[in-house]
Amino acid sequence: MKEQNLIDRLFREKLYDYKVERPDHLWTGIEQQLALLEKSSSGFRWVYFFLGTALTVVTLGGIYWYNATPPGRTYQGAITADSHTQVTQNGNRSNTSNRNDPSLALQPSKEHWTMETMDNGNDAGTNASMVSSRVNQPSENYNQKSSNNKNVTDPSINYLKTHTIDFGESSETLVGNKVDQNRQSKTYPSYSNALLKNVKSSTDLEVISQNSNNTEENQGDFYYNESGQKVYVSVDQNRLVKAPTMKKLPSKGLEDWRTRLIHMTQPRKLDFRIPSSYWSGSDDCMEMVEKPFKRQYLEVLAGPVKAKRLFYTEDSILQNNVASRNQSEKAKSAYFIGMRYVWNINRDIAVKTGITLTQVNETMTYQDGFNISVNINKNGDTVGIKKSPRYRVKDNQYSFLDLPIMLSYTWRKDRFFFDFNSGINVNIYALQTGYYFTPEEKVTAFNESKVYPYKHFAGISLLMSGTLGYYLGYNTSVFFEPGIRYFTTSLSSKDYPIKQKYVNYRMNLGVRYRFNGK
Amino acid sequence: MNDIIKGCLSNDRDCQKALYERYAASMLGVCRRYARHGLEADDMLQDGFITLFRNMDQYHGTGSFEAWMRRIIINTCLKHIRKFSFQKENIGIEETEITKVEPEVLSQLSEEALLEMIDQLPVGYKNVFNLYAIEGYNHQEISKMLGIREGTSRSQLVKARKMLQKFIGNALNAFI
Repeated sequence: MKEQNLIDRLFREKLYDYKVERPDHLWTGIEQQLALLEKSSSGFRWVYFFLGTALTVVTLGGIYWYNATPPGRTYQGAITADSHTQVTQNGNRSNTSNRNDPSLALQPSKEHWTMETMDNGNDAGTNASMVSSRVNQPSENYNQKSSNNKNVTDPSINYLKTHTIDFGESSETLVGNKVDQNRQSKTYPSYSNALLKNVKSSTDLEVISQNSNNTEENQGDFYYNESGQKVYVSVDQNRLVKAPTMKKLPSKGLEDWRTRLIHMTQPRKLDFRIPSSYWSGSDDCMEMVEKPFKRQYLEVLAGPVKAKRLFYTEDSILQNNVASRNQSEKAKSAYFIGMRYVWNINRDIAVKTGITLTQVNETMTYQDGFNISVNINKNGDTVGIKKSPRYRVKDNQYSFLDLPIMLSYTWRKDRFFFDFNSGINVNIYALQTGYYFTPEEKVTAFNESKVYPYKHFAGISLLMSGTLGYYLGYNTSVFFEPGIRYFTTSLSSKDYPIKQKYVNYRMNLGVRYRFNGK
Repeated sequence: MNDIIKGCLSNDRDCQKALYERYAASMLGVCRRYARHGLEADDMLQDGFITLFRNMDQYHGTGSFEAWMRRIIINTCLKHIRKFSFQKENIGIEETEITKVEPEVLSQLSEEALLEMIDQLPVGYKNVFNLYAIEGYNHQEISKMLGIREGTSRSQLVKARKMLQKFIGNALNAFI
């Protein structure tokens, strides 16, 4: 211990205040570099601009999304009747004078509609082929219900009868029609045929066409589409004279809105239910049940990647080698390209899988001898020798071919959608080419080393991303998808003592094409 | 001195130059202990003063300015080493013969001779020895500064001392 203290003290006393004559040229270098830095610090930082823009877009998109969704938003496809509807049991309907005039179909009716065939709360009248009657039992077709509170269909309510009207693939007809400004007063064959086929008694239709209050909200029956907006329907006797559409069309473009409506919210099947409370004067409720939401998409995406890798070891003898690896191998550029298949299990949840390629381009820098410059004056005398390290740079490449498997949850608003994706990435093949410092500190090519330092099967990594998308049309949408990939295990091969952590951050742009599930 | 520091805070070039002229020699002495050669020490000093001028606002005047500056210079040296130290250093510690050092003869060794001994140490040993024995940092601080474990710092210090002891013995034998 004394020897140790003696050595420490010797070096401290002699070297703590040790001074070296300062070279005059150094100040010039410092001055020039300071001037350069002051100039560049006022320059534009594109990296920060890019990241800031991306963050702003995602944040504002989220805020808009959140605020644009009505607080009492119903589930997709819910259909509700006017909450002030009153129905009596005397079976007479008053005043049907406006029913044959399609142009008047949307005007509110001030009389109370009635149901003719009820007897003490039991279903006693309508065509049995299209009405599944239930007394004091919840409908077995009951789906999620939550409209604007007052029209909520409660699972505890006993339904007296259920009307199911299947409109079939009506969206195809409507798409072909190129809906025009007069849509509200037109009769749509697919709807009316469906009604005529299924509804044998006008009383069955009355429950969906009744109006009682002359307020804007109650001018026709409405339901909430999948975006949470009201869609109005109206019936003229046995014909549906108004296809689902908005009462108030947005100013940004009529055609644009209608296209979206058809593509995204067209009901295939309406299931109207009359709760038992209907007959006691309480609020009525109707609902729509859609066909299963089974859509399939193909996605192509690509973008830059920020790759981060860190070497480490448990062996203290190899600490210097770890330092060499960390210092010598630096990511230069990286990119991601992939193709994915998206399958919607239901409206909100989808499975995404496919094949992707990530390539990281690195540089490996190492010292290879010295540069020595000898200054000789005009007399031929050597006046100075400068020795400086000579560095060499090699290009390395690290490639991953992967199979991503992700679960995705989707939120939609108008033409926008947002998917939260998380899952795993199963590596199919990984390959590193280039040079590195072996544990013996020799610069060696990866394919020439005794033990290949990396796994060719890099294992499973975790994936998480957010997809902000925009529907361009019926089939096609574009999206922006930032994401992160994290390896939980080392990428090094089992026998190689230097381990490494790996993570990459992605910023992808992509195109999604829908090829199934209209 | 306060005027010089205030001037540096407002990027006054004359004040920066005055600060440089005042401390360059002693700070170059610090850099020389961490560098492998004089040219690298020059680079370290240049980077260190640039870092210093760009971070002057972080000096709040509460402690010694020189100690604060010294710490910045040391950190710059360590950063420089991390960036450019790629060379493998083979050391046969086990074969080293330890010579007993007599205190009275040690003072005969010049600063340059001691510096030369430090230069011969592997980078890791040199850093730990410089920081612990000369600068006075403890192992916990060193482990954070170098990104190593405290145990590694301790073992490297022991190995550095052993090597230096051998160098000193050789130097004294040659001297005698």
